[in-house]
Amino acid sequence: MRMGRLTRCALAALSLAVAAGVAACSGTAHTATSPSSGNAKTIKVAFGSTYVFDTTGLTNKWWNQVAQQFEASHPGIKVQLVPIPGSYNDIVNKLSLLYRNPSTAPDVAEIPTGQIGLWASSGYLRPLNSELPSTSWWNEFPAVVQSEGTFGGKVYAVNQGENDSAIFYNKKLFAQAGISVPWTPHNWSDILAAARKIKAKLPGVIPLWFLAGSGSGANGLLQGINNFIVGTATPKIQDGNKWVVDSPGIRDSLTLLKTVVDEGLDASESQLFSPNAVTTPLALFPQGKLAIAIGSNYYPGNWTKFINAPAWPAAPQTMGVVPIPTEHGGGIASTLGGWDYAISANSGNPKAAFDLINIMENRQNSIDAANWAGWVPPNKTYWTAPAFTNFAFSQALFGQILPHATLTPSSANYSIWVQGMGNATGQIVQNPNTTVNQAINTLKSYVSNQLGPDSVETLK
Amino acid sequence: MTDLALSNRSVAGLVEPARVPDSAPRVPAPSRWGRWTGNLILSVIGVAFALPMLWLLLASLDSHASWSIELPNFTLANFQAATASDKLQSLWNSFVLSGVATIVSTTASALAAYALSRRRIPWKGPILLIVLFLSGVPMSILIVPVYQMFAQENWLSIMPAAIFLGVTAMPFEIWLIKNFMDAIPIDLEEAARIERANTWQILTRVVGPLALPGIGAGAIYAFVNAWGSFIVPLVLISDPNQQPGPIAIYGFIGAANVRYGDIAAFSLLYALPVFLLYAIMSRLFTGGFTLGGAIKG
Amino acid sequence: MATMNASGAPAEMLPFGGRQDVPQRKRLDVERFQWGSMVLLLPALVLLVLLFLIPVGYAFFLGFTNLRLVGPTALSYHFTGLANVRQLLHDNVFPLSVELTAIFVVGSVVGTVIVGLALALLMRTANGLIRILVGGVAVVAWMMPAVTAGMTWYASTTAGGTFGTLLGLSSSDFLHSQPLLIVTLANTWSQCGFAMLVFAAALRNIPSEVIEAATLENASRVQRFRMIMLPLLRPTIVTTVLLVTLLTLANFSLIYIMTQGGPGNSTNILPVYSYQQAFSFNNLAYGALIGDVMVIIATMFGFAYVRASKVRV
Repeated sequence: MRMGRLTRCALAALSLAVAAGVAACSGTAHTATSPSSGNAKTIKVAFGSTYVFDTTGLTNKWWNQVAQQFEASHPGIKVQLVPIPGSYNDIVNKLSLLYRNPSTAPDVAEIPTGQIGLWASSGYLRPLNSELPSTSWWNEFPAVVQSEGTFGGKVYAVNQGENDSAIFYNKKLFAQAGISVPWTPHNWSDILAAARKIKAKLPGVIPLWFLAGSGSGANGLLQGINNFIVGTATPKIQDGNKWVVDSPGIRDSLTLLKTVVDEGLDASESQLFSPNAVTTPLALFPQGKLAIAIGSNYYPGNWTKFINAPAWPAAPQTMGVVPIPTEHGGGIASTLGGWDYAISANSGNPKAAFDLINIMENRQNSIDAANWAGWVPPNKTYWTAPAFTNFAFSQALFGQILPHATLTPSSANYSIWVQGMGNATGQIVQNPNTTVNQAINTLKSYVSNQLGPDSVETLK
Repeated sequence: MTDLALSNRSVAGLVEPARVPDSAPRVPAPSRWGRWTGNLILSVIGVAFALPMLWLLLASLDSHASWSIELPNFTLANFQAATASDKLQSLWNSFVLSGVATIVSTTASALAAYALSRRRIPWKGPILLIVLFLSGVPMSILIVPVYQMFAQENWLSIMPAAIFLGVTAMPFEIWLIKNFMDAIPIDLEEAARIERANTWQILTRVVGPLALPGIGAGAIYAFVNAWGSFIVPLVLISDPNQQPGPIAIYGFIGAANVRYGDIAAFSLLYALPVFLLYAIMSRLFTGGFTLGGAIKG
Repeated sequence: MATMNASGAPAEMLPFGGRQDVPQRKRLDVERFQWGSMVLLLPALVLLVLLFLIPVGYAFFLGFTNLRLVGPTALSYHFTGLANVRQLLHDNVFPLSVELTAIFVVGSVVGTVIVGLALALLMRTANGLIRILVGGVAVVAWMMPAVTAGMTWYASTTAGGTFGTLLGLSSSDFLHSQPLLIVTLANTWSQCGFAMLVFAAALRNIPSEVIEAATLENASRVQRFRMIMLPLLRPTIVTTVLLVTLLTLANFSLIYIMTQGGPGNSTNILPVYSYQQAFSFNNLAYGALIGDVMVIIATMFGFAYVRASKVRV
């Protein structure tokens, strides 16, 4: 029996409607269940198993270490480790699925700094204000680090480890190009001047590694243009619930990028658009192919034999590290971001969960985490500990930079701004004729199209 | 002799067995020149396919592997890392996952395909098409309600995940196998029915052997669908010791460094079982079949 | 010879004798639905309804809610009617994404079907070793996990990669200068193995007597192919086109790993855009809606194609 086209389409529509109807009836609102009695015998701890620490082996070593310390001091309570494989996106996605279901929601979770705002606003997290004053470590966190987990006066997450940025330069190449070392750029012009000298004297070397494009996502901005935006007179990216898409600071930063790209001072488009562009300098510096890079605190650790990513024994003598100057000088600019601990609002044993955090923030564990994951520990008293400073060269400097760093937004639509900025910077690299106005327009039109015209703002 | 034995014999006598020991396909033999050109073109295509994999091969042997293609700093350390015990465990998990998915999917699909091919089912056409295209819903979206369901039923382990993977392959497989069954002339079955064979006998002795290449293609599809799946095991399996191969690759990708050489080595190892599987199965299907005069006209 | 039975209804003669009363309205020349079919269909039905249709229906429904992955509407979300559809109609990226998807899918399907068929045809008459090697390589390309395939193609097509080095243009970055072309090639590469298997099995189904008869009539190879094999293969070609279309739409990971939808939006096909909205931008409901649109467009195409190729489904 042949069915008419119309009948077939109607049937299709009908079955879809039925399915939707069934689904609609079966589940709409899920409300969080009420917290349980408070003395559960197991606490679940979720963390990234392959992405966060430098190797899976170190991940397991650290988490087993803290679990054992906890169980030794809390007989009767077990720690159930919930490792999450995959990279950043996979961790966030799996965590968000775990949290949706009260039975799978972890008591303690390792959450990226950029997500805390989101998690807090969903009601998933338990405020820690009452427990924090009695700790030995909370007040030793720099103010900016404390604020990363604070929303509406409540602290929802405490930092596990931070990344911040500084300029790395190859002293040997600088000497060859006739630039005196140690080098201290006081403002953006100094950086440009040094890059130009490298280009003139050493043609086979990439003068400056300045990230652009959307291939590296938010990390690309964290180690790229954001370090310049926060060093201007208008560092704001988010203003209330509006997004800044045009400001003198953004314009100056884009102009700097355009100058660098137009004068051939940057890496090639292919290198910058690579999904691993953020870590490519780690391989290029030992090969002597790169002179200057906006790098991060994990570079020195990666070059040790212990981490071996890649191992570069000559690193301490060859590399110089200096803070990123503000646009016209007189200050230090850096972004910051890392991973944090948070306790679930539905935790079966919040007191035990907090005890675990206490253990994880102690001197030994915090420094181990910092060394094994490439972080700066949030507690400033640890920055001068020999275990930290001896691990790799210039670790102490990154501790000193941390209080001067500026947080990037962690609210819901930041990722859209990131994509817009990535499109804008990528356009500058791909098409030499792109003007700064056009780049700004790309950012503005993208964000306002995705979020609505009332969501964007121009700062004067 | 019972009627059953009689009909078994008659049915069996109508078709030659699917596996013919002689491996030459029943195609009119081309000329020597034609054969040579055919082999040449095939080899060129084969090389074109293998070309991107060149990087895999070189990087797996390179101690300083990176994106570019270069002569390797020869080392076997990457293969050592790729055969660590947890990596081998993940290989085994992949076998279990893919095997279960294939068995579940192929059995259900073959039966359903037979019914859809031979029997009258109301609204068969539109339902088939709709089910097929519903499988176009992106897995990343579909996984959210599925996770919800599995979490509530406490099914977050390898077996339920394998069954789910099998189910996701079913729309395709039903289409595939039905397509092959449609091509088998119905005369054989009618002859068998006259000999009073029941449905089960027809399935196992007449249609089954003839549709074997198609069922085989469907089975390979289900296997590969499960073998390469990443997001389903990532979300649906909570025990790290039950995770299959694609997840293990992420063990080599960290925030601050990516071990390309290890990834390449592991990927080569991961490809090996499927290559062997294909080599074995292609031997089985080389025979082809012939209806050998069973049908007149 | 028609006879009447006691109640006046016509009675039929059976082939080997005997009679049977025939009810007035039932026709014997039209197949009846047998309940035995349900037994055969049952396993597939149960599995599909429980583990497939229900989640898919729910995923469809999600496109019309305000569900977010994390945030205030992560747990307590509700039906929002056409709000997401309105957003879709104002979205500048969406029409671009549809266009890119069309190019990507058409390119992939045409490439896969042609190469897959060519492989299957050539393999019938090839040397045994070459057949296993080439077939094996095509199948390995198909079964490779997306992350590996993506990295392999990334390494091959960017500066310093295999293609560039072999052509002597080692600083050329093919991927970023022609992103859509390269990802289409990569996608075709990863699916030819499947098409090859399907066509190889279908070719075996062609009775050799038919080909032998044509040869006896002095038909050339080309005539044999065009007049006999191609028409016999038509149902398989239709099946393969439909299946490869779906495989292509599902293959978002490959592109995501190679280009993340970029540079800019130049490879932001619908599956990638759906993922970006749902998981990067946290807007799960909107991503689901884009997925729904994908399915609807694909289904309409499927119906039209089956109709046009006049193949009985």
